Amino acid sequence: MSQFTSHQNSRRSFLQTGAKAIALPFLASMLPVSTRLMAEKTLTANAPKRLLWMAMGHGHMEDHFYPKATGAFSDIALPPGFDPLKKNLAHMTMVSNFTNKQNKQPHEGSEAVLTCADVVGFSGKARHNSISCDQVAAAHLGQGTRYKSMQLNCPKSDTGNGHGGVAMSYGEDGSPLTGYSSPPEVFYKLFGGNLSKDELHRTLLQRRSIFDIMDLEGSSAKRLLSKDDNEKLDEYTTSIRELELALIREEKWMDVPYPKAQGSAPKEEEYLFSGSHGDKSMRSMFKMIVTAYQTDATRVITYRMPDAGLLKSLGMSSSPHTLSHYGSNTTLHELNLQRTKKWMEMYSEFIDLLRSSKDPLDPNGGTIYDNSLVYCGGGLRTAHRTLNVPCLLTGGGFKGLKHGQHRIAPKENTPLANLWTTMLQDAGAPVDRFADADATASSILA
Amino acid sequence: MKGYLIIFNVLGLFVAALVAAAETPQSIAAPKSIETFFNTYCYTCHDTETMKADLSLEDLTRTITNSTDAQHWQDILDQLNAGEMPPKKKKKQPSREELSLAIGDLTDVLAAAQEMLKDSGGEIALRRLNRREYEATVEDLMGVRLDGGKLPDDPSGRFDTIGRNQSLNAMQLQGYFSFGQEVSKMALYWATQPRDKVKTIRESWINKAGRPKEIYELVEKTDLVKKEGKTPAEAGLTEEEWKKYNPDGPNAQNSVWRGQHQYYKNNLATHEKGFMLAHDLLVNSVNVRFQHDARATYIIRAKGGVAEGVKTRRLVRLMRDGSHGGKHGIAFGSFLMTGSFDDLSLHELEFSPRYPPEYRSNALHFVYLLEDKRGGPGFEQMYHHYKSIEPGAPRDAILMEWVEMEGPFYKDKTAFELLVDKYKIASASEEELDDISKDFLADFAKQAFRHQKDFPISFINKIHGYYKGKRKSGASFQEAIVDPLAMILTSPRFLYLIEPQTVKGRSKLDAITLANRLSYFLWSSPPDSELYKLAQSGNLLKTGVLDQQVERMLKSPKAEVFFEGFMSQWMHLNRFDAVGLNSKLLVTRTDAMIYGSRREPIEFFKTIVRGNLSASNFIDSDFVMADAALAMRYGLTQNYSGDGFKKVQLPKTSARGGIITQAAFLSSGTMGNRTSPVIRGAMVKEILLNDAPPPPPPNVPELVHQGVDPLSSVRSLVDLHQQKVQCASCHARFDAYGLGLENFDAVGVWRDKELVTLAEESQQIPRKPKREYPVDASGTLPNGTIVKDIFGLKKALMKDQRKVAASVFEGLLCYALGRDVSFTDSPMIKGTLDQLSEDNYKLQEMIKAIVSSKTFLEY
Repeated sequence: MSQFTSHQNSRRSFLQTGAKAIALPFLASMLPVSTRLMAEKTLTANAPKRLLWMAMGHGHMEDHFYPKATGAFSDIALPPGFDPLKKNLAHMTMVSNFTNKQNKQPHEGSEAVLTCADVVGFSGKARHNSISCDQVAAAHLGQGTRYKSMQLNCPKSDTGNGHGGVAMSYGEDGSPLTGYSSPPEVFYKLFGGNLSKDELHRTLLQRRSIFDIMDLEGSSAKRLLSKDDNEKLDEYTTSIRELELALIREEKWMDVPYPKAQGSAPKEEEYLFSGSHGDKSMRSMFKMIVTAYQTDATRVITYRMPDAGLLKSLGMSSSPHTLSHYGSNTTLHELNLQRTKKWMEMYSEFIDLLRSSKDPLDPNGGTIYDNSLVYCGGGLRTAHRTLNVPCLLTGGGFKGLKHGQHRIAPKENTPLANLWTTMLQDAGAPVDRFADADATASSILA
Repeated sequence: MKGYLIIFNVLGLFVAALVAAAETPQSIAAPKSIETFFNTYCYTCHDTETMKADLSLEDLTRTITNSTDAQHWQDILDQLNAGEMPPKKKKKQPSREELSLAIGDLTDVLAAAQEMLKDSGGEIALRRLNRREYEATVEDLMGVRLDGGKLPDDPSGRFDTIGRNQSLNAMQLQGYFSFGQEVSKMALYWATQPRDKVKTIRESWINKAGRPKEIYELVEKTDLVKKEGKTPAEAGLTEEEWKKYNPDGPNAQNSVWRGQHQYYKNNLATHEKGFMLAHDLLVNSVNVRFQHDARATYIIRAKGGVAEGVKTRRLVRLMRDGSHGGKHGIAFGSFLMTGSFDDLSLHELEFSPRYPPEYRSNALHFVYLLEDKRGGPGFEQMYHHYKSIEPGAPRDAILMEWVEMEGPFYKDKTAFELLVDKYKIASASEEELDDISKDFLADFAKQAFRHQKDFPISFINKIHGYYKGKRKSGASFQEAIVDPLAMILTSPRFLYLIEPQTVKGRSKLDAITLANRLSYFLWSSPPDSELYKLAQSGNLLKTGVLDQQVERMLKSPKAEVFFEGFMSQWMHLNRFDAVGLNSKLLVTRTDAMIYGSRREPIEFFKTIVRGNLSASNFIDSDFVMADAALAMRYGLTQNYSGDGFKKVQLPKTSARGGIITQAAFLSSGTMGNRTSPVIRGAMVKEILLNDAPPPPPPNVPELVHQGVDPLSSVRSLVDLHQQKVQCASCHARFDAYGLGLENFDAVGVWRDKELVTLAEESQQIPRKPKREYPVDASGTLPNGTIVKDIFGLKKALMKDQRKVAASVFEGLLCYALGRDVSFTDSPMIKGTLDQLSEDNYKLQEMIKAIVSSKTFLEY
């Protein structure tokens, strides 16, 4: 269990309400009622799958990060960037030859990585994005959780990071879902504020009446306008509707108490100074991710990780963008290697965390690792190259994937959307093809 | 009446005809040169028979009419650019010239196609207030100097006024509402605070070295014991003090102690004159502390001087807030200390910060003054390993006698504040407030909704109903009124610049809508009472009135938002904000320099507009707008006097003048910590020559790719990549402009030599290899003109005045209308520029031409 959740015995015992005599794993009985009610549904079957996409911003240097041969990690020569991964090599996979074919932007690695959309477009259209694969997943897998999905982000001050845009996740209309950039924010989302149920009820009612008023006001303003301009105000009224829907979801969940937090929220001070403690905030976010899965707050998460913050935590004053133009500058090569190693150290720590965190929703007593599909990568390979982008996979949720290998897609520049399709399918979302996918990636993985 | 109708009808037909003309599909032909190329190198695989990779180039349309066609051609260009086609293994390879021709022509055609398809048909999309406008509008309406940093992001695009680029989602709308709640609380808080009288608070820094003095005295005494063998008692130390301060004891004197001691000792002669902005102290600043009123501005003054013999270390920067003695604060200007220890100089600067909406207290805040040493914000600061940039100058160079603030200075009360006074919100009883609450909301909403027609009474009724509900549940007036105010600030009538339209198609704006459009163009905030009155009386459209209003509005301080908003975007200063220059390596990249560089283009633009000067000044001018830091770095201290931004007349020998020698422009054109003639050249082409080069394709090789000597001069690297055909086809069209700017380093300071180092951190500078090259800024421009240096470059560019005029004019048009300029605007643009050319493209005439154009006056 995470340090934030605690044992909570409720009078509304699961075993009393449900006549189904399921032998609850020990951990599940510790869950708050909310999660246990969800558990009631899921424990009958297999543990639910959890999806996670993480992006690193800039890529890595060829010699530091990309193994030259394919096959089992134990049989091939590994680049120095892999040093910190030693103990977790058996629990991860690297795949080569995936490319987000739609990405035409050398600085915006993460803006379209999950949408596989041509953001710049061509016909002089304003930038536009389309729905990201995590949001497609959320539509299917997010129905029974408090949040359909969650987005974690690096702070705005994390500049030059190679992510581009403002988010990894994009809604159905292509608008960015920026999510939360500070660990305390996520903490309060997971465990609620300090509002009593009455107070909560009152705020919800107030918000409802505010939305009602604004909805009418939006429609009344529309009458002043011509048809074209009305389309703009449609965005306004649609947004109100969406807020109302979110409200209904919140109302539905109002009776379900938040899991009880143990310990206090992460300290804001740790993340001050322009996000200079990239590693600390990442560790904290990692914990939040695992806690979110354990408490079943959500099953779909994306994390746009701080690249500049990570550099700052290494005491480097160069920006990630400066590092990306390493050329033949050996000093920059050294800095790049340090950064790659730091990334992989963090990644390895995260695998440790996944593997050591019990999954309360797993009837077989498995870990979060066992039931998750985790992608870590980004839209830039090295420097400003957008082809054959970094792709690390971990978690036991990929069908037929045996970790511990460097695999390669037989076709150069295989659409990254193929992998997204497979991840969605493996997690149980009935998706045939995502975005520009021309096949699934299952044959590459299995 | 009948005649009027007929005119209207005819006009309607005319408009319909125009629309039809605009809808005629336009097309652009594929370049002829490609046919030979296809024939020779491509058809062996990609003809209708072989169709390798399902691609037949024969079937490809030669007439680009839509974005799908264009995309196909773009794919081909991408392949050629990436050097992927024809495949390297094929024996028959195109020559450099052939490839260059094909790529060049195709790039041009596609750029033209892009332009064609970009057309929005001149439709102006409804837009909402961008962040600048929201801040300015709230300030104008409610009187608080708001920092809108937490508002939803503005979309990217040429200008933040373009409605078509905006979108709104639920999360952002929620954000607007929450922000509106905070703004309401902020405005209520401040509007109910009495206004203070103007006062002066002076902080004297004479004999202020308390702690260093204590330490100095203790160390002197412990030295007597250590070095001269006296007993602690003889040295004047108590038993306890000796135990505590014995240098060999557990409390060994640390570097902080040594610094304080050093400081006091070094400056024994000056403590009674003031405080030195020293190296050795952890807190090396002086300050003044006062209550900040979110409605007001202040003046900061200081008196000080520099030690004898000091030449360049005369810069003091002013910082607001920030921990550690202001080190981590925000710079807002600099002083050039002209005085000496015996004859101190007096300096002053306006201080007008903005505040986040949570700022609702009279808390004390600091303004700090520090020597302007290198270091950016936050952790990039670098003081403790500072090496003197002026050898021979004393370690501690600047003495400050006192710092003072004068203020608060208020503007006239705003609509909201007047309503708060009128309805006695601060003093009336809760019952009395209930009685007036609805009028209060309605009166405020009228102002907030910018006097547009169809005032929504029912909306006011509803939000008032909400207010009553909250009051019933026990909330006070101040608590209950917040959400209704926030609802007004979230209404589409506030958030969007609604232009009510009754007639379909093109038609004249009604007067109120015109007043709003004009006001948001030149003030980024609502019309004032004079504009509203002119609109209501219908006089706004009378001959000469619009021109008069433009002149009046540009003189008003409210136009600052326009100067900043337009110039920042026209010059792409977001590039400057994001540039990754490492302050630890670049000694002149100080906080004051960053502040001054960022501000200079805006002050420059303001001077050109207010003085109605020619657009040619953007290419070259006989003056610069410089503050203390810029005057120092531009070598103009002899010509600069006073404080803040001043118009400095340039000596004939100065290379400055125009925008391309401004530090912000030059710093934007850098890569890593080195100059980038490539970026600078592309910026010259886009900003001055109004011809933006296409964005670089992805997956092109690096300039300093592996195998190239990293200590090469920038010039040789540029030459090297021009030898690559894929690069040369585009880069030959603009690199030379950038090379002409090679005499300016990454910060924008003049250099005769280029220093190249492998160091990435300041500590590495002595160890890592470095090399020096004499700067060669000569080159041949794309039109064949040979230039020797920056002087020659500017002279050559001066021949293209019309292009820079077009660039500014199109920029202003786009900014003013809130839409991209499209090819349907071309006749109007050409006609206006022809007219303006007769009087050297004067800026105010440009603005007047836009405001009185049909495009601006119509929906």
